[in-house]
Amino acid sequence: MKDLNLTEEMVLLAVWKLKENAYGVTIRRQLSDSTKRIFPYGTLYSALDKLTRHGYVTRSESDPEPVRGGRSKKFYSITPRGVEALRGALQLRQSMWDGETEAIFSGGDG
Amino acid sequence: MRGKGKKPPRAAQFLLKRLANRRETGLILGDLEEEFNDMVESKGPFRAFFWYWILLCISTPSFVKEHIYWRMIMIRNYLKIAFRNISKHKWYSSMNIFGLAIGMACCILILLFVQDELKYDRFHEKGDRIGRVVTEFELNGKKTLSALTQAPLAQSLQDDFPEILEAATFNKRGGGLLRYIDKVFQPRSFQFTDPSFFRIFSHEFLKGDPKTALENPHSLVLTDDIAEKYFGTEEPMGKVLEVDNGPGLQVTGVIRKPKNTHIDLSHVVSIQLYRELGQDIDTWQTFNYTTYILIPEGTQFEEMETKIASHMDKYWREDNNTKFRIQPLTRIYLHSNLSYDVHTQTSSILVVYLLSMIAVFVLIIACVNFMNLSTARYERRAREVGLRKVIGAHRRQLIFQFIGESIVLAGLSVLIAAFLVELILPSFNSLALKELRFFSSIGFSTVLGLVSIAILTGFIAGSYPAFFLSGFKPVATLKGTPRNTGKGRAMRRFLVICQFFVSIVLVISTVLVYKQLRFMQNKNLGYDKEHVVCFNLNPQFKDMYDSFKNELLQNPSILNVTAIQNIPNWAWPSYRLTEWDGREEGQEFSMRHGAVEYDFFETMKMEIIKGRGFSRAFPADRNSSLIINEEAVRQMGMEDPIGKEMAMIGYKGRIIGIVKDFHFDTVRQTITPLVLELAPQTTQFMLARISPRDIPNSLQAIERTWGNFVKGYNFSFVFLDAAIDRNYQLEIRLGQIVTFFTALALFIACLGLFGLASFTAERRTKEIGIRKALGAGVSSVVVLLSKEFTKWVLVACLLACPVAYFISAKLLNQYAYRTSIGIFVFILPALLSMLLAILTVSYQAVRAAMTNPAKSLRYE
Repeated sequence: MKDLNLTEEMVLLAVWKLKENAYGVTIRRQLSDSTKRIFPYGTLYSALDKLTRHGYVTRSESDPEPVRGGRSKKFYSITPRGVEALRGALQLRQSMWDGETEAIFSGGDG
Repeated sequence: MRGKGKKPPRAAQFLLKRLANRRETGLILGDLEEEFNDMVESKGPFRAFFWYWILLCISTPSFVKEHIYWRMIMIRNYLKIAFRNISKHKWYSSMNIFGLAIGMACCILILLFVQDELKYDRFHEKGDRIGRVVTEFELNGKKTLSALTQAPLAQSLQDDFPEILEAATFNKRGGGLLRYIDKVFQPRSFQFTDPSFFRIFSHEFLKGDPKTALENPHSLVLTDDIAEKYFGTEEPMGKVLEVDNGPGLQVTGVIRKPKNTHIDLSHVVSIQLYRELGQDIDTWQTFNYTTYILIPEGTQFEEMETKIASHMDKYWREDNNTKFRIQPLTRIYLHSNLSYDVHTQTSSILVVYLLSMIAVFVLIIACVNFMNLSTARYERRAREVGLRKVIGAHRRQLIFQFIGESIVLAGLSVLIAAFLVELILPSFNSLALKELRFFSSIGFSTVLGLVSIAILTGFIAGSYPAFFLSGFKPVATLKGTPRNTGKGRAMRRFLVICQFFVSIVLVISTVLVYKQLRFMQNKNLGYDKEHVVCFNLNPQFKDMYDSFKNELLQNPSILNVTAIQNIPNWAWPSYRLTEWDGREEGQEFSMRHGAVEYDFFETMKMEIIKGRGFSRAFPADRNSSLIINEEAVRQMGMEDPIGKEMAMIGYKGRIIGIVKDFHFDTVRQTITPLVLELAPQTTQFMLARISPRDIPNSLQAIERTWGNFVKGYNFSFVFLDAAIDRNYQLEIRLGQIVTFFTALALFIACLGLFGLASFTAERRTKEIGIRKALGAGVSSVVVLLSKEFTKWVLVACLLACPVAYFISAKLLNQYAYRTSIGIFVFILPALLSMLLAILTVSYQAVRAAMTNPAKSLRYE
């Protein structure tokens, strides 16, 4: 299983958090709020594409809606493999930090 | 504010549609529209608009990245398929690539050549301010431009026109021997000029100072190759070489031998030396010199020209219808069509045009080849095309793919072409008498040029096949229906005809060039140039000329001996007549002049048609007898010339005979009026006619006699016909070059035909099998297959003939004496190409016809 890069990890996390309500607009809002930055659609869909290819998320379609100008929504939901990947990513990070997460904020070198 | 019903900005949507990955466009647009509507409700329509655009801009980079990523993947696929195709059909692919490579190699060679020709005389620092003064005079009614001017012109121009910064006189004469201690050298020529010459032209002085090199009348400037030949590793500066009938010359400078220049330098001496050698360089009556001038920045040649046009009136009032013109330096080498351009070497812009035309032609043939071979075997790509279309490829993508493939092939071809060029370059250089360099002088621009050739050729050659192949209907191809489109065949026929058309035109032109060359070499010159030995008249025996001659004549194989001032085809000076019987007021006339010894006409086997030749029986001949040629009589309009008087500068004489016109110039020029006088003191070369039998013996005899009279100088000679043939170097070269490329063109065309024929044969395997099974013989099958192609080639021949005629007529116009364009010239090449075509096709046809029908009918 390949490692996720940061963007992919963020997107996957957002999908997992949003449970059933994960589609373009909601995922993007979630990410923008969490990161306090504007998260572009281009990056979002590239990442979603990659995740789908690796088998970490699946897609399903909804009905067309007028508010979207007559287009349908595509909902993304995480797969067990995706959950595995998230876990792996978190574990990797934790083992790297090794409990030093406070120390980085208290300043000083070392 | 309620914004329900508002739509997102259309422009932004449009951009988005183009930028985003096709698959996600709908999604993204939908998401954005949803957010847009929320924004309109919460923050108002203006902020929504604004926000939409911002989001679009931020998303763009990753859209582009995605785009490129997918493009790369497709390109990887295209490349894979391209290489697979190439290796699957190694035979056809390599023929294709090789044919294209040869075409490109031709192009590159010609490009190098043309580039070199266009570079002539560009190395002079002040090049755009240097000009040559030429004379325009009305010679008996016609306006002629002559490259020759008078000796004092240069100085007078500098004196009278402050705008003329520098001016130099230049003359080139052959003859004379140089002696250094015990070694004797025979220079091809000496170049006489002013010190200002080196201030006008930028020559690299390896030793010596350009400003003072020619100040001393006895100075000598050598080119580095000559200096090395004479002195080896010794220091050349300061050494003194003795000229045979003159003073010693001291080496005051060594210059690097100039390349790509119209003035060929080897031994540069002061023009004052010319005076010492007995020539009058203060007279305005002798037009034998070239004059170069240097004008300041910002001055135009045209305005200078108007200023000096009537300059001659000041010094020679009698001359009213002679004007001076100025020829810019950069036009001399290629665009000079002046008479008497004898001190320089010029080429013709026509050669450049001709070769460029050939380059284009050859490339066309190669490209056409490529097109044909690509489209002929379309069947193997048909299914691929159909499949791709079914999956969803647009026509545009397919075109992109096929053109890309062509470019890859072209790229391979270019690499092979580059190596071919490097390989052929030495032989081409000796053919074209140039020193072109390819790999050794490869630079960024060369590489860029090669890459652009590859891309351009690939694009052009691949465009037609790309359009053709991408137009297949998927259903038809996948079903396997064989397509034998009328359009496809028509196009191929057109292409083959084009190829052969071009080749045949080239072949005809080549044949014509050779014919003209032959004609010029064999033309009746009015004298017999064969078996005449020509050597320098050494001053040691000049006073004993008669005894020398008599001793030579003792030998029975030496038939006749005479002497002459200038060898025919070398520059014979032209002088103005100041007076002649029957001259009208203000009438001008110039004639070429030659000084000869007794027995000249007999030795040269020239015909005196009226009067008599110079004879010892008439002692007055030495001082006052003249012989003129027929053309002179014609142009002067003399009724009965014998006995009439003529006068030139410093000479007055009576006409005693008329000689039949003979070519004292090259055959390229018309025969102009000529006057001959008996002036042994000015002769420089001896001519001895020897018997054609036992030539080595005759030569030895002459050498022995030489040895008896001359101490310290070796005997060296040339044969007259060889010396004269040297003049036709340009045509010989041209003929060889054109032949070379024509052969290549024909080769490529045949190569294409070969490929096409083999393909056709393969396609009709079943048909052939059936015919054979039904009883057709091998020959009838061969005829069947060849018929069509032969027809095409025949059409090409018919089309080519008028075009070739037109071109050849244009080419031959340059020559005063030209060969006739016989029917033979057209029939021979046409037959030749038809024969080649038939051979090419029949090889395949025979092979196909010989196959066992059982095998071919099994072909499913």
